[in-house]
Amino acid sequence: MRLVIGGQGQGKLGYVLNVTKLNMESVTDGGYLNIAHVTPVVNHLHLFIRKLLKEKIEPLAVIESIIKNNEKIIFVCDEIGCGVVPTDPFEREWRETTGRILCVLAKQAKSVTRVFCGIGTTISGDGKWT
Amino acid sequence: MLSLVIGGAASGKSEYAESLAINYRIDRRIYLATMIPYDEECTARIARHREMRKEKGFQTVECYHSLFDVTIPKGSVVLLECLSNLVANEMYAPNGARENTKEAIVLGVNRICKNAEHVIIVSNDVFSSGELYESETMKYCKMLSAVNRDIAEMSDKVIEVVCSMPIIHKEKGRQSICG
Repeated sequence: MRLVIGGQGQGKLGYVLNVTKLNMESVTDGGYLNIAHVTPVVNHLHLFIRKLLKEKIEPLAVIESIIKNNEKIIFVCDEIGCGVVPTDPFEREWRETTGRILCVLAKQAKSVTRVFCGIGTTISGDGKWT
Repeated sequence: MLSLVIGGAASGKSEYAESLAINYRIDRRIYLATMIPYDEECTARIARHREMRKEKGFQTVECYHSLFDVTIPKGSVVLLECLSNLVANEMYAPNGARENTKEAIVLGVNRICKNAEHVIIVSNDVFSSGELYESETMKYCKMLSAVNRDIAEMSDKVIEVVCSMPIIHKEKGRQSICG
């Protein structure tokens, strides 16, 4: 499993497609992910987490099981923790859960790459994608 | 040479960008100011910043939109601050480029780079708050991030400023469009 993070609109998915030579057919949006049909790349992991929280499902367990069955999966996730603490409890839970899950995933990921303005920097692990 | 300096609010990005401009040791320094003086607060803020820069040898040129129309003296150092204002102005001010905001800014930067020896562009990092703003604000964020990425692609150097400390994301790498 590899993890690619960065702010909204930084070109994370474009970066992944560029280094892996995969196309959009290999990508599913986390907001619509069905765990029966997992693709090599899951984009917007933060929206998958949001969807599960809305459905009152514990996201980490689901994500761990996805990894178990798809060892080479690439997760692309927005960093969403740099704003003011949200007043809405659900928004707080989402932000907190997403951050914690990214910490867990980063520890086991083959690599963690942060994309800034379209430029990827591998901040941990093996940055050789092919 | 084109440099892009990005940071969050009060990260020290302006000061860092100014020091970059001064370190080139070229006397002709142009500051392209993008903030529209909407009210007294803006006007006072602008006056204070202008006074501060005067001591650093910058000539201030106002440019709220249409970068392409600005005349830049050959061989000068240009500091453009900042893309977050410029994008808002192009999107929402009268005579702005509206949906062609990105194209207008990229064309304008290209033209400035033809005359200037060094160009430094400051932009804002507003992309990691996780907030789901209302749709017009999201549209603005999307446009700003797209402009940032395009300018980063064109730049020789991309620097993120965190707590006044520079993190270099890109240096040299590709041929300069400047000078």
